[in-house]
Amino acid sequence: MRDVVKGLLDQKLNASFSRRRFLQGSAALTAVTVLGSPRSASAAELGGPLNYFGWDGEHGANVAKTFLDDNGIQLQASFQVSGDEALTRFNTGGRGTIDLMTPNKDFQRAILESGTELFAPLDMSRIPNAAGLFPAFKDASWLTKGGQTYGIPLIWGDEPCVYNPDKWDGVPPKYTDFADPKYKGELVMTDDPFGNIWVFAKSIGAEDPSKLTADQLQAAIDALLSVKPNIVTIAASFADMADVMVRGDASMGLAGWAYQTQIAKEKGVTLVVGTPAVDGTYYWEDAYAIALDAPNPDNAYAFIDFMTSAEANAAIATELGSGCTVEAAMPLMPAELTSIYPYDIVRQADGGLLGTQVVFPPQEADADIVPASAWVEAWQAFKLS
Amino acid sequence: MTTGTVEVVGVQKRFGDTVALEQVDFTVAAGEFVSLLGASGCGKSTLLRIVAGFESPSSGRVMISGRDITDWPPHRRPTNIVFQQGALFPHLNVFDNIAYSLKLRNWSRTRIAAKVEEMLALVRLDGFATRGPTELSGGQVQRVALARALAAEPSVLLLDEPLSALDQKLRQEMQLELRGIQKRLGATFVFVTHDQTEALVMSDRIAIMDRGKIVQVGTPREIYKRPASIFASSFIGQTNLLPGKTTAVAGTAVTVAVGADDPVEGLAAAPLAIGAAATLSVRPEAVRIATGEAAVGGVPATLSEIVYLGNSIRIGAVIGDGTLVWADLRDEEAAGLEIGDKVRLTWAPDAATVWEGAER
Amino acid sequence: MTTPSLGVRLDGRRLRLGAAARPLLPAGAYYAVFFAIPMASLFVLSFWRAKGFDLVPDVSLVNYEKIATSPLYHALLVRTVAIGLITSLIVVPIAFTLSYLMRFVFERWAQLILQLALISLFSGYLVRIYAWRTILGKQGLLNSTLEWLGIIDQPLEFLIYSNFATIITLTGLLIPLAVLPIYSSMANISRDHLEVARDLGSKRTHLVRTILVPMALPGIRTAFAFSFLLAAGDFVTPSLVGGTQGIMIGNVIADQFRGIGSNWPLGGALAFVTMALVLVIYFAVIRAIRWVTTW
Repeated sequence: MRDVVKGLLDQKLNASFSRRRFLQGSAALTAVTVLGSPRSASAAELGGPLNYFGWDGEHGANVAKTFLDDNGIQLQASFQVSGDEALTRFNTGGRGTIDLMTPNKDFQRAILESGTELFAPLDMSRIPNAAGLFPAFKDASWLTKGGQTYGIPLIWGDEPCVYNPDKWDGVPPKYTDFADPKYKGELVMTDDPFGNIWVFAKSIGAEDPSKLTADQLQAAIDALLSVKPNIVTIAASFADMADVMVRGDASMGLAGWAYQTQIAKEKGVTLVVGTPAVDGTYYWEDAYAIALDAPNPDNAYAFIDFMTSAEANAAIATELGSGCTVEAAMPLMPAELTSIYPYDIVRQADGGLLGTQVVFPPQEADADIVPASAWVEAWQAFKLS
Repeated sequence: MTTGTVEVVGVQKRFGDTVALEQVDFTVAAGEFVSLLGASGCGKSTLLRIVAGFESPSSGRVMISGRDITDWPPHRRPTNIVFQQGALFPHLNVFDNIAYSLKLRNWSRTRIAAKVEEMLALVRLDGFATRGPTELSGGQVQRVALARALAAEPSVLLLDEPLSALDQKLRQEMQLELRGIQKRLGATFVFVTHDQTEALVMSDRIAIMDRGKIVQVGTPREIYKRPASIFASSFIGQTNLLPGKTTAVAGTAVTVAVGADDPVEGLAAAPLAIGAAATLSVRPEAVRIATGEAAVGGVPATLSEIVYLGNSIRIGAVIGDGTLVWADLRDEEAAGLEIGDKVRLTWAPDAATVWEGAER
Repeated sequence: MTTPSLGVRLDGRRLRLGAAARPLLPAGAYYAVFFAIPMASLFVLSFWRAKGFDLVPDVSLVNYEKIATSPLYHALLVRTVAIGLITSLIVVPIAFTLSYLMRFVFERWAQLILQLALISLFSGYLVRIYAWRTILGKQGLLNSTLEWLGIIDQPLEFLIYSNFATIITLTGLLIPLAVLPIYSSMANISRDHLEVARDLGSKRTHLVRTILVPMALPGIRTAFAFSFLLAAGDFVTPSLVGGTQGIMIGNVIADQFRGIGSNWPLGGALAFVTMALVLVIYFAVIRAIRWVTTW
């Protein structure tokens, strides 16, 4: 699941690999610095701290710089290492100190469904720019509960295979095809239990790959094990995985991130994306949310509204190499970035696959459906075998 | 056992551009205690290290008991060395330190134990076998170092200023002890020191070194009485050096004009040219002071210092050219002398040695 | 009650610190706060159980049982200890030789080499690991050179993403660290000691075994501790260059503390089991060294 992977991205690598760096050399940089800062109507009440606890890169320190300066807001950002860390922090004394968070859709869905206290319902009148979101992101099922909206999406993307076109014409139709000996010494994947097991569960025919029985889980692991002899290394993060391919130590990356092609391009290496025709892949999305008992809600609302403007959304999606969530932002982004993602699905009101697809296993066991902890253990066993 | 001979033939040692030893030729007879005496930097330690094998000579040969060992590494040579700092192995006790070389030779345990006991007795440290080096006093450390070196039964024992780190009193005791051990064993010792009293006390023969050369070799008495150079004479014991000019030569007896052109006599160490500059050396104990109108001969001088030395009085008198000359007198001989007295300094001609020039 | 040599004494129930113990207070306090207490809490934690997002306080051996009964963990521990030992057995002799050369042969260069070692320690740890990817990779320095020299046709694949790569990388990382204590303890060995020993008949291996190693033993012990313990505990290196078969216990322990599905109690149990195993082996090796050097 992208959580863990993102966490590793930020945690494992030093600044040169953080998503901040993606900004360097990017033409979007000029767009960012030129962004004006719309004065909100209640400018007089803004100012002071804004406490962010979410993914490194999504706090928009560059994109929102002029906005923050003009309104006298000091963004205090701490970065989470994994998707659930915000909840842990919230429950261990963070409640009342956190304003902004960036949950991914599955985590948000899990929290809302279980009724765990974390997200504050949003007063949408204070986020007028939310009207510009793609249909899929307005009132999406994972963002709403009981008529209240709890999150404003900022970026989304998928997990394609990333590969060297000189060596491979394309990707095989199924993930299980990667067990073929011709891939020996050529494969690389990240240390992500959820995403990897999900795609292989799909490949072995699971109906809903996020809800597996113990047998299905084992079958998915067995499928992975059949591929393992061909894997060169299990990378610590997306950037690490890209590095392995850039060096030529591997040529086919499973469950990667489109942005890796950009990283490679900067180093003079061409990589392309592809998705197994039969199995497909999964999608993720991150949203801004305000925590319950946030100390600076005014600043938080103003920030989210600003970030949901077309220019800001385009800037941050470009900075992070992902899909944008605001319709008007799309034309503002470089064509090579928007062409990577299937924007059709976000034009559908229910989000298409984005809405129906759940990658995350449930926290608690449910009848014979195994919980997330079983997935983690299975992944461990896979790594150790 | 430890009764080898040493022969150093034509040894030279250069370190880059510096010459540490110029042509050195030198022998040590079996059972002799020979000291290499000189100031720091004169090359005495270098010479010893060449004999030990820690340096190789740039040219020349070294022989031990007739065998040419110049190219042999230290561990093969029948010599052992004792250093100034003792250099006992801190992780071994006294017994194991002494036994170090014996275990290397695979001696049996009983034989080793017997030898160590013998060595401990020799250096008068019976019962110290289990002590650690940190539990020993300075003198005891050196004794163990000595025992360790002797245990290996070397043909020649080399000692590099082994007593220089000890305090005065201990040093004097150790000098006698060392000499005693050497005599008892009848061993050949080559001893390096910068302390001339030490050399005089312990040695059968002394080799004085200066700037890479041996300037004189002789018994203590020979060196003291008949120093071969100005340097040798000033290095051993105390002496007065009077600059002057040779005025007459009759075989080895010469007359030199010193002070305010006052003629005095001495023995020339080497042939002197008349009229050339010369230096006359006479020891304080040989200088006599004559007072009163009856005084004739010698050098006129004015008394300027009277120093009480306990068992003698040291008188300082300035002669005609301003040189201060010291005379050591007995209490009664110095009675009545006062600063400012005009006196005459005299000595027996054969108590003074004369060299050409004023350089060392 | 007599005061034991540490100067700490119990009078009835109050602890009295004698003068001898007082200088220990600052260091003692530091260790208590930053070491003893966290370790103790982790130890207590290892008897708890993990349930979803929660930790259930308990006194349960379930985590230790899991470790004791899992052949995967056993293999993992064996591999970890093996890599740690092999690494340290390469690092220490190299560091020892280097220290000897610095101390007795290239004395004028010693300061420079020491500074280079320190600089390499301060430079990024990750950067240095990535440097090994450049050297050992399929298209890396070593393979390219060997191919260019015609010694091989295909790149050697075992060089990277393997235990070989882990050991080489760890060795490179740890040599500078190991040199420091050995070099500093060699300061106690004077040239005289070596010369006397040689004069008495010793040379080469005998000299090393009977003089150099015993006198530098404190430094060697420290160097071995550094390299063995750090190598065995490392997880970043195997993660980046160890490949799929190179997982070490550190990786598994780190996994237990990360995000979803984390299991802190199991992590704690794994940590303590590893620590116990590694310490036992450490002391065994030290004993062996001492045995070899006394005769």
